[in-house]
Parts: sequence; structure tokens; C-alpha cells
Amino acid sequence: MRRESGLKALLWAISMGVCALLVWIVADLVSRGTGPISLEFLMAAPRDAGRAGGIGSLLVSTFWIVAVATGVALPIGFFSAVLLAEDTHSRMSRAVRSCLDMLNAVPSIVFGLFGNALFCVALGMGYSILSGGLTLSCMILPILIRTMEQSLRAVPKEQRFAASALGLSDVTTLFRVLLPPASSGMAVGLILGVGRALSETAALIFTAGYVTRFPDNLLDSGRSLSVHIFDLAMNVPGADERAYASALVLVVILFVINSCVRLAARHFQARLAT
Amino acid sequence: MISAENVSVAFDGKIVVEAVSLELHCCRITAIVGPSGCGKSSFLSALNRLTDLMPGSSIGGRIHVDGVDILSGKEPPVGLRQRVGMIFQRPNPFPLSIERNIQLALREHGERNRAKLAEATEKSLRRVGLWDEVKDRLGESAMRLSGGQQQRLCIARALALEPQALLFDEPTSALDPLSARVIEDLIQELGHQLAIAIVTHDLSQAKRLADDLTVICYRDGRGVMVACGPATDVFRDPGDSDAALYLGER
Ligand SMILES: Nc1ncnc2c1ncn2[C@@H]1O[C@H](COP(=O)(O)OP(=O)(O)O)[C@@H](O)[C@H]1O
Ligand SMILES: [Mg+2]
Repeated sequence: MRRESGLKALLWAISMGVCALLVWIVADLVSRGTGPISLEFLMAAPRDAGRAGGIGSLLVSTFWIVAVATGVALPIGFFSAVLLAEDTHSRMSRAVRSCLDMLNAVPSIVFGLFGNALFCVALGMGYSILSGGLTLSCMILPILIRTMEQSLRAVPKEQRFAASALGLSDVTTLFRVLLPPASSGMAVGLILGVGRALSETAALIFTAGYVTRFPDNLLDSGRSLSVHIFDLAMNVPGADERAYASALVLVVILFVINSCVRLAARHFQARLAT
Repeated sequence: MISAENVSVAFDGKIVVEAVSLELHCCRITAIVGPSGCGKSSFLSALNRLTDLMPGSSIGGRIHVDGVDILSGKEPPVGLRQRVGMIFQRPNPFPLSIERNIQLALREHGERNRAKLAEATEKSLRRVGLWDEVKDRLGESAMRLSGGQQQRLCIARALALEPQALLFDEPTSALDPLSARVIEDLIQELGHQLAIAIVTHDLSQAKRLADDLTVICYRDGRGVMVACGPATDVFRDPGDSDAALYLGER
């Protein structure tokens, strides 16, 4: 009994520690980063290598890079996850699964080099938002597929039997029976993927580039917010405060996306379930 | 209307049950009993080709439903499953509203008319005695029902398709005794309307329900049918030492 309560206290202490760390990071960002934040900061392009001006153009570039990445990865990931969840046994599906797990462990800089060779050079897209977005879509595909597949597979197989025993088609079974209970798990996969895309730097430096102008179209080079933070912190003396401000904005965006996706999943679940 | 001749089921080439022959007819209840793991569920699933969903499964022998060979692979199993429904051990309603649970399959099979859907919903819920309990909350999630109510909903869901036969795989063994009794009475009632096969572990239940009885026992590591016939005859004289042991032991 004594040992058990000791263990419990330890676990509590550890989880409090994790929460405290999060609070500390956010508090640090807020205390050092709120200074420069203003409407102007959020709208304008950076000037003087980021010491002046704002992050408006970077927000636009970031949005498009992440939009391309998720726009491409989400449908491919969804259908791959469905196929993998249906086919649990074949040698092929097991091979695909272990490839995905290996890809998931590949450092992002390797994806950067690959994306540069494939999209920028071989396919002639150059340093562009499109190259960056497509590279990120390759990078987040494994985690999207694996989390979505696992949430589909977590639906008890009795549900599948019940559906089949009623003569329901595979499509109805997927959308009416399997997706509602799986949707919150799938949303978590999406959040992980988008979060990863938003916070990526290494893979983007070689593919989307670091031009700070407002992009005109997807073939323009564009600097993402994370690349900007990296650049300010490493290469630009005297821009620390702006690095913190940009990081604060990034964290806020992550929180907002997180809540939106969860809300959307709940709404979706409720709608499918009626 | 269902006749199985010398049916065997194998997984990855390894036979788990073999030599099962029986016939299901309208308005008769056939009970299938035997020790666990001897392949009763596998055999039952073969009857409406639910085994298709189990990786590595294969069926041997012949199964005819309404004179049509269902193992020939010529027709898709969808029509078969409309005619031969299945109820499982654990109640497995969909995480949808009560109403949707019943209407999903009807819509799938082409019924779009709302009035007809509502009518079919009421009719099948009445058939399982659930209508009065749920008529005011048809839009609520089926997951909120009790285990026994969920199982009756699953039966109603199958009945809505107007099947000619229902296969029950230990339908009461996950329920409390009271709910189990309600389901058992319902099966008895349905036994006057369609062909029924029920796998059960409960020999007294088999005695109460069965018109015909099939006993499957282990032999050489696989299930084999050892006795079959009108229930009273088989209970009186199984005609096989393993069957006698199994029926007498409980
Ligand atoms: N999907 C499956 N894959 C492989 N083996 C299975 C599968 N389903 C059942 N079996 C095996 O078939 C045998 C019979 O199982 P089952 O039909 O469930 O028996 P019962 O219903 O009589 O308890 C068991 O040994 C079981 O391990
Ligand atoms: Mg069984």
C-alpha cells in the first residue's frame, strides 16, 4: 500500500512537471514576445532582415505551404489508411506498414534533400511554396496514414461483422459504421501532421527557400514562420524580441488549429451519428 | 430452406470443423451445441458467408439456400445476407440512433420512402417487443440502451430486412439472466415465423428451444458433427459416446 501511494505521488510529480514545463515555455514566450506584436506586425513583410517590419508575408507563405502539404497528404493518407485497415493480413500490407514506420523515423533534413532533388530540380519547380508543401506532404504522410489506420482498426470488428451481416456495402460500412467512432482518433493524426508541417524548418530551407516577400503564387519562394524564427535566432543579431514574438504567434496558431480540428471532429461525429 | 451437406471450415488450410450436415426449415429451431472452440461459430458464419470476412478461411462441402448453391461464388453475398440474418454473442448496435440502426440497411437496399421506413421501423421494433420502450426516443443513440435492449435492437435490425432465416450465435451468453430470458422467449416466438439456428452453451436452453439438435464434438483436434436429429430423440439417445458424454455431463 505504502509503495503504491509512493508510486502514485511520483507519477503525479512527473505529470505536474510536464505541465509546468509547458506553462513555463508559454509564459516565457508571452513575457518576451508580446512587445512587438501589433496589427502592423501581423500584416507587414519583414524589413532589415527581420529586425523591423512584421511577419505578414511569412504567415501567408506558411499558410500556403501547410495548405499544400495537408491538401495533398490528407486524401492520399485517408485512402491509404482505409486500404491498410481493411487488409490486415497480406504480406504486401505488412511491408507497406513497416516502410511507413521507417519513413516516420527519417530525419526531416533527409526529406529536405529528397524534396530538393525531386520537386525543385527534377520536376523543375525550383525553390517554391509548391516544392516545400509537396515535400512536407511526403514527410507527414506516414504519421497521417498510421494514426488514421490505427483509429480505424480500433473499431471493434464485431461492428464490421454486423454491417456485413446486414448486407451493407463497404462504402456504407466505412462512412456510417467505422468513421464515426474513428473520427476523433483520425483528428489527432491530422493535428500531429499539421503540427509537424507548421513547425518544420530543415525540410523547407532546401525546398521553399527563405524569401521574405509576399508570394504571388505557389511557384514563388516563400519563407515559413518556423524558418523565420530559426533565421532570426541564429543569423540576425538584435532580433531576439521579434524571434520570440514570431514563436508566440506560431504557438497560438498551433493551439487554434488543435481546437478547431477537435471541434470539427466532434461535429462530424455527431452529424454522422444521427 | 438452408441445407448444409458435409460442410467443413478451415483457416489457413487447417480444418477446424468438418462433416456437418443439417437442414434449417421455416418454423423450426435448430440448436447447435458442443464444447467451445469446436467450430460452432465458424460453421454458423459459413451459412451466410460471413466467413468471407475472416482472413484465410475456406469452406468445403455444399450449402444451398432456397436451392441455390451459395458457395459457387456466382452471386455476391449481399442478397444472401438479406435473406439469412445473423445475431452475435455481444450485442453490436451501430453507434447511431435507434432509428438509424434499423433504417441503415433498408436504405442501403433501396428503400427511400420516409413513411415506409418509419413503418418498417415500428413493425420490427414491435416484433421484438421494444417499441413501447423506445418509441419516444428513436433519435437517441442506441448505445444508451441496456445490453438486453441492444440485443433486441440487433434482432429488430435483422428482422427489418424480412429474412427467411436467422442465425443466432450464443445470443444470450453475454446478458444477465433476466434479459437472457426475454431474448430466449423472443427466439421461441420467432421460431413460429422463420427458420432459426441457434448456437448455445446452455443445454437447458437448447432443451427449451430446440426442435432439432446438432451436437459437434472434438475429434483429432477438430470439430466433427457427432449427433443430429429431432431434439427429443437426440437428448434421449444421442447414439454416440462423445455426444452422450457432452449432453449428460451438464
Ligand atoms: N478468424 C480465424 N482465424 C483463424 N482461426 C480461427 C478464426 N476463427 C476461429 N478460429 C479457430 O477455429 C476454431 C473454432 O472456433 P469457433 O468457430 O469460434 O468455435 P466455437 O464457436 O465452437 O467456440 C478455434 O480453434 C479458433 O481458434
Ligand atoms: Mg463461438
